[in-house]
Amino acid sequence: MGPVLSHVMVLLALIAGGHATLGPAHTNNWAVLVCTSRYWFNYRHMANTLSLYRTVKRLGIPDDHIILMLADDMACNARNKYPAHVFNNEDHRLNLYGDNVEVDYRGYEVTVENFLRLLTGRHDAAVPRSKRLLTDENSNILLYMTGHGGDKFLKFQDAGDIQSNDLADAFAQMYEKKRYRELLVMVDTCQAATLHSQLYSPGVFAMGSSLKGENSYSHHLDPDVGVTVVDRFTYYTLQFFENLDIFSNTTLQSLLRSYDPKLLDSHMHYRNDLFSRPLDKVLLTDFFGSVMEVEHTRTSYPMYGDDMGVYEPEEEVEALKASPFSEEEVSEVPINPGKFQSTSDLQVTLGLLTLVIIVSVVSVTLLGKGDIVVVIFSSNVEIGGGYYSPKDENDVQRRHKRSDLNGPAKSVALQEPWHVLTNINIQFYVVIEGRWLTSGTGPKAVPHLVP
Amino acid sequence: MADERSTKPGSKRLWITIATILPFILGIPLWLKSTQVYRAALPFKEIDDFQTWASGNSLKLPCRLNIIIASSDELLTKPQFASVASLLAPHLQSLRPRDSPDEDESCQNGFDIQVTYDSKKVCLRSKEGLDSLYWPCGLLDYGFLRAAHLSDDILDNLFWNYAYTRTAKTNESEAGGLYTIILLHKSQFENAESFNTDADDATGTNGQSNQHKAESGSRTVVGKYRHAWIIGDLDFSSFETEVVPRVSEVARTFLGGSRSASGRSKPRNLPLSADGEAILSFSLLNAEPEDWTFDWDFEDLKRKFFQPVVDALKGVARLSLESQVLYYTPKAVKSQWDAAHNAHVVPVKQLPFFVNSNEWHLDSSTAATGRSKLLHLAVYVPGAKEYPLHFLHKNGKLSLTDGFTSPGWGGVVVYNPKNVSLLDGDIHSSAHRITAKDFESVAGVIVAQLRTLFGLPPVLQDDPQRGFFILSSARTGFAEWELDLLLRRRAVSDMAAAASTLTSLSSLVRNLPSMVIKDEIGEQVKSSLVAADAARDHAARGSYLHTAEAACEASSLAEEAFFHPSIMSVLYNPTEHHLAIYTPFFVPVLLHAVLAVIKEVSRYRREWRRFKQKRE
Repeated sequence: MGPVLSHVMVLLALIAGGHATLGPAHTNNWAVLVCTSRYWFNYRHMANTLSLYRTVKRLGIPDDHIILMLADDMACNARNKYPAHVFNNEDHRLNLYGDNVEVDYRGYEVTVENFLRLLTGRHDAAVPRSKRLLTDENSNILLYMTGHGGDKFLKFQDAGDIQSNDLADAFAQMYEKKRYRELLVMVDTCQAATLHSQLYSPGVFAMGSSLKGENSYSHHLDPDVGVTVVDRFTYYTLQFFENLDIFSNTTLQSLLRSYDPKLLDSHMHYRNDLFSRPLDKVLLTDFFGSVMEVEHTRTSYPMYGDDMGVYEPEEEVEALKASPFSEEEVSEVPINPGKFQSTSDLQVTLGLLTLVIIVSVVSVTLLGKGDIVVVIFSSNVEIGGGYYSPKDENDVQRRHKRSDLNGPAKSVALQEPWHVLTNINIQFYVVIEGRWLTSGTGPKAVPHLVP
Repeated sequence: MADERSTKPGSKRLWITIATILPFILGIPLWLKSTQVYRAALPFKEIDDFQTWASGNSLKLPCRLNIIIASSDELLTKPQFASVASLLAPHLQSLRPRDSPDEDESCQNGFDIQVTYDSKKVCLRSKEGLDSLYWPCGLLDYGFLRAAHLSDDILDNLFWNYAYTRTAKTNESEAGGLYTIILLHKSQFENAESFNTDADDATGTNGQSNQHKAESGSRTVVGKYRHAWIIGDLDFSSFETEVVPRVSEVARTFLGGSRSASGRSKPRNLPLSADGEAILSFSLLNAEPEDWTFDWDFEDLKRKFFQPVVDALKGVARLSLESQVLYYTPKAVKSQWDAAHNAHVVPVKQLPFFVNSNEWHLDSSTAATGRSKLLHLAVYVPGAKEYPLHFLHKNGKLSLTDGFTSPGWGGVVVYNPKNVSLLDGDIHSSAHRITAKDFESVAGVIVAQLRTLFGLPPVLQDDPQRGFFILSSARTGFAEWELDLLLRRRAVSDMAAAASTLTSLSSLVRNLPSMVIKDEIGEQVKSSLVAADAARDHAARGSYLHTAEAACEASSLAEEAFFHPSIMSVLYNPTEHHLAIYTPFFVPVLLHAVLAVIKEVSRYRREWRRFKQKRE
C-alpha cells in the first residue's frame, strides 16, 4: 500500500508541477522604492532605499523601470560630513550615491497623493514618463517602503500618512486595471505587519519587518557620519542579496528563512494568502531582478526586394528567458470591495458657525433683554484632520537635536509627537443674567504618540 | 417650607436653552446635503450591457473571398461549375487560422464566398452575395498573359491594377477583407517557362525548386495586395484533390498569416498606446567613439526606408519617428573572439544582457509623454576592439541578422561598418556617414523586427517544394492582407480592452460612494460607448478602417476616463475619521447645550412642583 500511495503522491506532484509551468511568465519587472521620511536623523531610511536601489539595478532592472522616491536629499545635506556620499555601513566601502542614481520623486514630491497616483496611474497629463509606473498585466512589481510607521499607517514626510486601507484600495485599483501580474511588498518600519493587514487583491505577497506592537530597529551607528546608517531588516536583507546574481535560483522561501528574530530584534512577518505560487518556487530574481526577454531576429525583411532572406528552418524562435520556472495563472479570487465613506467639507463648519450666531441673535431679539452673550472663538481650524505642524523652524531643529542626543542605537521612535485630531478650538458661552449657562471648549489636540 | 413658591415658574430660560439646541437639529439636512459629493450619472446599465456583449462575443470583421476560375478554353460546363462552387464553399466556410486556439483573427461567420467562372465566352457566378464588389469578368481579354517577361511581382501588380481599375466602386476603405484567389490554367501562359525562371531569379530561391515545381506542376503565389493566384493544370476531375487543398491553404494564410514561421502560439498585444499611437525612437549607438564615429542622415534614411512602412501601417497604428546619435555606449555583455568565424561573437543565449541600460540613454524623448508608447530601435556600432561583432547560434552558425527584439521594448541590430581598413587611417576625421546603401541591410533587419513586434513573422516563408510562394512587400514591409489581419486583431483587442476598462471603472465607482465624478468622466464614458456601438455597426458593414478607428476611440476614451486625474484614491474614510472630523464641530457645543436643556427641564419641573405644593 505504501509504495502505491507514494507513487500516487509523486504523480500528483508531477501534475501539480506541470500545471505550475503552464501559465505565461512575467515579461517585465518594475521596482518602486520609497523612503518616506525627511531630515538628517532619518539618514538610514535614505540609505536603506538607495541600497535596495543598487541591488535591483545590479540584478538587472533598468533605471527606467525603477521609481525611486526619496523624501530628502542626504547627499547634499549641510550636516553631511561627506558631501555627495551616502553610506550604509560604517566601513564606508560603498558610496550608495555614486554613478547613475536617478531619483524620480525627490523631497516634497514624495507625498501620499503622488504615491497613490503613481500606483493607480492617475497622473496629470504633463507628468513625464520617468515618473510613471507604466506596467501591464505581465509586470512583476517590487514595492519597498521604509520610514516611520505605526499601527496600520506609514508616515510620509512629517505631514501625512498612508493608511493600510489606502494601500489596499490602491492595489485593488491596480488589479482592476491589470497593472501588475504579481506584487511583492516589502516594508521596513515599526509595526510593519499592520500595513499589509488590510490587503485583499490577488497576486500580492507582503512582508514586513516587525509585528504589531514591535519596533524595527536600526542596525548600527556610524560615528563619523554621526547617525545610524542602516536598519536591521534592510541590513540583513542586503546581506542575503550580496552573493546573489541574476542567474541565482534562490527562492523567496530561503530569504524568509534567513531572518533571525534575535538579530532583527523584531519578528519578520509575511502574508502569502493572496499569492498563488508556493514560496519555494518563487525565485527572488522574479522580483528583485530582471532579464530582458529577447527574441533573436532570424531573418531580415527584403527591403527593395533585391535581397530575399534565407531562413533557417531548424532555428525556432528563441524566447531566452533565464528563469527555469514559469508561473501559474493568478487564480480568480473575488475581490472584496473596500469600504469608503464620505469626506468632509469646509462648508459644514462655516454653516454651523453661522447658524449658531443666527440663533443667538434671534433668541436675543425674540426674548427681549440683551443679557445673552455668545462668544464664539475659534482658532487654527484645520478641516479634514491634519497633523501636528511645527511652529517654526526652531521647533523642528530643537526636536531633531533632541532626537540626535537620544542616541540612535536603538531609537526608531525618533519622530515628534503628532496628533490625530484637528487642532480646533471653539468656545461657546451663553451668559444669562450674569451667570455662565453653557460653555465649551473644543478638544485639546489629543496627542497620539506612536513609535 | 422654603421649597414652596407662590409664582408660576418662568419658562424663558427653558425656551432659550431649547432654542440653542434647535439649530443643530434643523441643521442636519443642511449638513447631509453639504457633505454630498458631486457625481455625474454614469450609464451603468449600458456599461453592463456592453460587458455582457463583450464577454460572449468579440468584434469580428467579415471576410469575403472571391474565387475566380479563369480559363480560355471550355474547362467547365455550367453544372460542373455549380458542383465546383458547392465543393469549395463547405471547405472554406469553416476555416480557422492555423494552429491558433483563439479565434481573435478569424472572421465573422467565416468567409463569404463567391465563385466566378471567367472564360472568354461565359461569366458564371455562384451567387450575387457580394453586393457591388465583384470581380469583373474579362480577365483573359486583359492581354497580359502574352507579355514577354512575367514575374510574380509583375503579375501581382497586374492583377491589382485590373481589379482596381475595372471595378467600378473600389475605394480603399471598403477593400479590407475582400480577398481574391485566381485560378489560372498553366497552358494559358505562352512563355510559362521563362516566367518560372524569372520568378526564381526574382525571389532568389535556389535552383532546386525548379525541379520540384516541375514535378508538382502547379504554383501558388500570395501577392502583396489581397490577391493570390494558383497556376496549374486545372481539370474538373482533379479539382477536389488538387485545387481545393491549395485554395484552402491560401485562404488560411489570409486568415491567420503565415504562421508556420512563428514559434509563438499566441500573438501578443500590439505595442501601441491606448489611442493607437507609438513613437519609433531610432538610436545610433557609437560604442567607442575613440575608434570611429558614425553619423547618419536620418531624414534621408527615413524617406527611403521607413516612411513607406509608416504610411502603410497608418490604419493600424499612428507611428511617428525620431532619431538620436549617442556616443560611449558600450554593450553590457562581453564578446569573445571566435577564430573559426574570424569575428567577435556574442552567444545568442547572452542577448538578454546585451542592452546596457545604464549607458544607453534611449529614453530621452520629449515627444513621448504620459502613457504614450515608445519603441526603441537601436543600431549598435561596435568599437575597434570588438570589430566585427556577430551573434553566434548554439549550433555554431553566425546569426544572419545580428539583431534581436524584446517584446514591447523594441529591437537592437549590430551594424558592422564595411571597409573599416579605410577608416583606420583617418581616425581623427569627422564622423563617417552611413549611406543609404550601407543601411539597406540594417533597414531590412529593422523592418523584420518591427514585424516581430507587431506579432507577424519576420519574413514570410516560401515553400518551394510544394510551389507555395508568398511575395514580400519590399517597399512597405507589410502586405495589405497582413494589414487586414492586424486590423482584425486590433479591433478585437481594442473592443475587449474598452469593455474591461469600462467595467472596471463602473465597479470602482459603485464601490466608492464618495468618489467625485466629474461631468467630463461621464461624457468620456458615454462617448466611449457610442464609439463602441459605431464599431459594431461598421464591423457589420465590413468596413475595416472605420471599425478599427471606432474601436480604438472606444478604448482610448475608456482609458482616459479610468485614468482621469480627478479620481484620487485617498477615498478610504472610515467611521473613526468621520468622528474625528466632526466631533470637534459638534460635541463641544452640543454636549453642553444638551446638558443645559436637561438641567433646565429638571429645574423647571422642580420649580413647578414647588408651585403646585404651594397651591395645594
